[in-house]
Amino acid sequence: MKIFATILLILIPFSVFAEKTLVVATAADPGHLNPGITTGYNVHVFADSIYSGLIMLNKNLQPEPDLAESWTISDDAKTFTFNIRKDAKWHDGHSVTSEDVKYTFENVLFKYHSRTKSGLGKKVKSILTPNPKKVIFQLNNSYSPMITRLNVTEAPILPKHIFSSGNPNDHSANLNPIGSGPFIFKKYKKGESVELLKNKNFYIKGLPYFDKLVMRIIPDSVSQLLALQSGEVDYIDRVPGAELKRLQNNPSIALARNTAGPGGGNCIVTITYNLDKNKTSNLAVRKALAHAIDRDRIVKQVLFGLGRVASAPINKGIAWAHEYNSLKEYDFSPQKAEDILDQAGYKRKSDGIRMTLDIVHFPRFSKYIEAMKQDLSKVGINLVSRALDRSAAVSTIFEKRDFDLNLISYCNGADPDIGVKRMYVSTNIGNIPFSNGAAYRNLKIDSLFDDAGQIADNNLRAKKYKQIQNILANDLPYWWLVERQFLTAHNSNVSGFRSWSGNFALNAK
Amino acid sequence: MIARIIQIPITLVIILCITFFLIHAAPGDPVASLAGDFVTKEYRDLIIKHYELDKPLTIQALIYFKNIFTGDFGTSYYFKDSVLNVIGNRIIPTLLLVIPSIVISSFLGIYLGYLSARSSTVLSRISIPVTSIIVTSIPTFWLGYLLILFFSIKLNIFPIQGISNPRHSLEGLYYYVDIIFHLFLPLLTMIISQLAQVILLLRQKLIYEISLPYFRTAQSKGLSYRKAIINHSLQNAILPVITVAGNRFSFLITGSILTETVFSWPGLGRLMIQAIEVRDYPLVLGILFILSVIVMVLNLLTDLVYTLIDPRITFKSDG
Repeated sequence: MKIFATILLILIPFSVFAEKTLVVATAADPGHLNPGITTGYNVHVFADSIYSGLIMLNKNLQPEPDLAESWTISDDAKTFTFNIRKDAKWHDGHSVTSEDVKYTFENVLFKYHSRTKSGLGKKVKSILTPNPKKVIFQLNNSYSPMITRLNVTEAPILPKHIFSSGNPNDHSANLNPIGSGPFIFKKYKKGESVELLKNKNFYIKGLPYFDKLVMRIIPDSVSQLLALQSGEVDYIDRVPGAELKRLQNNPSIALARNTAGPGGGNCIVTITYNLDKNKTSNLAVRKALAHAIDRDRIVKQVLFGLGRVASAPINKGIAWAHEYNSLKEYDFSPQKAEDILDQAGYKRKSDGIRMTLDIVHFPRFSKYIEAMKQDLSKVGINLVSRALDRSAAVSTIFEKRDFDLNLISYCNGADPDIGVKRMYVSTNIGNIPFSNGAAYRNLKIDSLFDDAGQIADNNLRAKKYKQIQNILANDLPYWWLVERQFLTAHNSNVSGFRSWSGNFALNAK
Repeated sequence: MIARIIQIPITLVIILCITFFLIHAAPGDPVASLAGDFVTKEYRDLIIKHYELDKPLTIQALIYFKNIFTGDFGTSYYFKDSVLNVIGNRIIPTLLLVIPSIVISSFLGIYLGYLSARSSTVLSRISIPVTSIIVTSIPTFWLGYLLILFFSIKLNIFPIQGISNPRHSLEGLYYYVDIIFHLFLPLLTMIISQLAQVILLLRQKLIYEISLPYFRTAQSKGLSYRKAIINHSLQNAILPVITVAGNRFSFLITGSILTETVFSWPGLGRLMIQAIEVRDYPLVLGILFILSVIVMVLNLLTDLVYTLIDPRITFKSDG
């Protein structure tokens, strides 16, 4: 027994150090590993390394080959043809075919993936599979953003031969996924970790470099950082801005700033005005608030410099559509705010307060609220905050519409048609979380968005989007505070992370 | 005694009923957390129909109770696995943390409480209770971070988080040794935060017992001060500690959440909070059921142990 133990003691270290393991820390438990039935960040941060999409997005959010090795777009942007790689295989050995793509879209994504369902569901006329390695999307109208919505986060491809038996929501493969991506599922220990192994037959030769990818669930951000510092963990996906200064001086830790992640990109923290309520329905009040809030201070003190003041309703990251000067007239000027409110008839009463407004928000945005409270009380507006957990907030804002103001981070995505349109079109009013919370109704805006979505040429689309932004700047249904950047941190021995995308560990070494 | 045992299932049903309606009354529903972002009306309808959330509340309650009687606790919306499986996974880590911490803090607390009562000098008599009050005022999570900073970062002895080593999957003996290594710091945190209560409790009761006449009698029989305490008063003083230990067990099954969060320990406390946040009704009710059973069984056991230890106390029927 003793001899056996000593031999084991000597052998085990050798066998274990032979394989390279990357350990990643993330805060939330995924619950399950099917990225096709949810857009939740907690699932995608794990599952996007197991599955693949037709394309993947590079740093500039431009498409690169993933499952599809090449593609052609018709001139009218109505027909998209993809050639699937010959050597693309599922982790159980079956070949990835066009049937899988067709099945995934029609039976999974268009039913359960909320962003793809609402964005592409009605646009796709049919999906053709002329041969096992060729798939053709035929659209009802021109839609050039189509291709940016086909990465693993928006449109992961699921294996038909596994999921076609049963309901995707309850399928056992949700806890035992068979994907086609760089890593193969090994084990999911609930509340603890997900273990993935290198896919040796991955179609991009030479990748991934790591033999094993372990994703650790560490709910507390301070514990995550401590783990990174001690080397127990190699990569953290969300680092609080407050740690920036301290980590910058640490040579063993490398930081990266991104405007996108597996949960969405090009995000703007936005105040929604409830246009159906008394005070916020008054344009003067909305304009006054815009002048009263010091957004530079928010970038400095709340974001710790990780971001910038929003200069337009569309994020600067979508450069071709961004109307740079649209919000220029709303400079930070408490004096202007006071004048506007005086003229609108909201004079200061004996206690110095003009009006009281309430704001609903998720607890993690409380720092923004504190800054806003200070700014607004200077001009005589008493801001009352209601921090609610996610479910309650969503129900209060979108179902009951019981708020004057709310604070949400709306992510635009790679194209304005993905994450911008939903906030402003009148068809999106109602119990639809993260949509048109202001209940903004403007038929001109509706038709401009529709037009812009159907034109093929980005230059022509840009004209429409710029027109939209100028109208929005006049009507001010929302107030766009700041564009956020996300901070990721990793062990400086490791590099090559694609932190802006779902399959962030693809090139890591 | 029989009455007590019958009380258990009746109380369980009442508790589950109340919780069922309470959690459904909370604003929000599971759809938002299941769907992620941008839920459309059709998607919401689909999910609600799938989980039978559109039926009237009383019908849902009846369906739930009918299933409970057949032992079917339902499937967790979030984890897509049977509720019993999900809870089962987390029970062992929780027990690993809770049971040793209660046992160790009880014994250690009794010893320290005894030390502080028997000491001859005033300084040594008050130093222990004063230190315990100071230590117990430290918030648990801060204590956890302090221990991590000292033992893991500075001394590099113990791992920082989780229950097992993420890099290497260990088998057999190494696996268990690894778990013990990971257990050390969270356990230490739990012990320190519970210690004060035991120390102060024991000390108070012990001082009271010492003031009773029988103590003087014992001393006049020839027993030394210390011997008299150990042979006689200590046994009486331990009784409240036992009650409190049983009480603490019920609390800590889910109450250890702070420690669990700091150390990423996969316990029931974190699971409960998570389940409530995402409105995972079957899971919440399942955890509550297990919790209620534990609390009630434990109360019964504590009373039983009491009657065994203290001959003055017997099971009297309600009269």
